[in-house]
Amino acid sequence: MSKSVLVICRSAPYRSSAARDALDMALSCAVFELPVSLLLLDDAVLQLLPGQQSGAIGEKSVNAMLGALPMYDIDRIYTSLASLAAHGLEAESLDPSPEVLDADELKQLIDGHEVVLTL
Amino acid sequence: MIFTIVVHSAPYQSGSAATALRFTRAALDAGHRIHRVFFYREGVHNASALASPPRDERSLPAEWQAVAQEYDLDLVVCIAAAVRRGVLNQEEARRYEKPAANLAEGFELSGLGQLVEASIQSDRVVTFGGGR
Repeated sequence: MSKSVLVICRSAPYRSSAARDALDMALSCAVFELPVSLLLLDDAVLQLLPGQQSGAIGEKSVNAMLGALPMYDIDRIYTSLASLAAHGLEAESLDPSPEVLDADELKQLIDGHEVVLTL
Repeated sequence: MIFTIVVHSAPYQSGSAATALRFTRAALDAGHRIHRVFFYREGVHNASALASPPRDERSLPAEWQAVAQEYDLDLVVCIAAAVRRGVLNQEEARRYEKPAANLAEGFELSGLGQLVEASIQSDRVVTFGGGR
């Protein structure tokens, strides 16, 4: 039996282990061949900023981990209009570039998945 | 209904771990099944055998053990999250050459695959804690 999974993360990349843990959950789902989507809300949209030099604070960059997602067939990455607006970002300047949803579309996205894992 | 419970918070980090425990008991008392309780992130500290709160205070590790014994629950702790944070069983303590193991009895270290498998088997997956 296959179930669709949505992983929702709300944390900035180096605030806690959340960014890495969210990706680990998504990758584990992919290993089980479950269709998995990633929803990055609020500060989590900052995970998608390219060129992060996190070595300066002794952390591994999330860029490499996010870059590996297509190899696991995880290519559905979403954020919200409000998250982008809060940080003054455009989806096109992010890598990977997320699909941007308004409030109603967010509800539909969450409703459309059988399992929702939050962090 | 079959539930899986996911715990992301340590005992004193927030009220979430205690809420997860009450939810687990309430679901079982109402006749539901718990397929698994999965401890991830700071939640791994619920499985420490070394937590020693004063006698007149609750001990979440002890309460998880009690409910697990009563209902034959599967308490699984994410091995990668646990080893990072210093919650080790005998085998991992040997592997990493540490002087002691502290995984409480009744808990088991295993991989994130256990969360995925539980998600597939369960009607509902309910997450407690996180947000950080």
